[in-house]
Amino acid sequence: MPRQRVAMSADEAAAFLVAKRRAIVGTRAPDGAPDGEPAALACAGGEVRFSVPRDGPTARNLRHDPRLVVSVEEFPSYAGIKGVAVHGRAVAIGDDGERTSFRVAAPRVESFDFAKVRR
Amino acid sequence: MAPRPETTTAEDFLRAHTRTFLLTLRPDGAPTCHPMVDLWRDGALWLNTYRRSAKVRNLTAEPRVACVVVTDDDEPRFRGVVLRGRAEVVAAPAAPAGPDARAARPPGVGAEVTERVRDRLAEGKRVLVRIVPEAMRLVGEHA
Repeated sequence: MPRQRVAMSADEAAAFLVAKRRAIVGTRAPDGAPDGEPAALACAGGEVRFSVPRDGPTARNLRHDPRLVVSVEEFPSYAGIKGVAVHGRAVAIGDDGERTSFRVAAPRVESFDFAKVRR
Repeated sequence: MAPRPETTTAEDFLRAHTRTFLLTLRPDGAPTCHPMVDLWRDGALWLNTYRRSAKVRNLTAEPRVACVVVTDDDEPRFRGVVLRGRAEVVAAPAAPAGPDARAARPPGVGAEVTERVRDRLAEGKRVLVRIVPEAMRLVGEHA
């Protein structure tokens, strides 16, 4: 279906992200193939931030290629499906010895809200 | 040789969970993500989508994909499987056509949705995608 007809507004997408604590982060592995991992999400002040294990695949992949997608979705029912994907480049902002935190620079947001589908 | 315990756990998890995030590469080479519903059958992950969708375009150009299959976000033991492998578009008649596969319906998807999906598969508007795993790893709180 044409995505623009079911997209959230910028405010709706921001509110959706702020309420979520988990995301799936997609990256490219050193072999060039896509890879993914769940991440702890913390969005605030218009910025998308997340953390992953410092020795895990996502942190490793982002050192090779900072391009990423952060995907959040909920599926309480078919008509209630909503999702936001943020494309951008990862910038490392912290490391506590176990996990590395990143923010998403140059974010580009895509979203869908099945409640907006005209039936 | 017996399968490794991690493989058994991953396959048991995949049989019981259908919430998947498909990761493909866009034409510019950046990763992108498609939340979907999957079905694990015959040692592969199956997806059902529109033939003209961005995900089919992406995985036709670059068949290497990843799928992150996870529990609901609020599950007390949040966990999942990351599967990396190759995707191929399969014509509808080659799908696992057993009664259980055709009747399979994830929670929250009504019978009218599955009926419509079945019609569009038959019309060729939708296709099945089979992802054969090359590597799987567990993530989160598996017992």
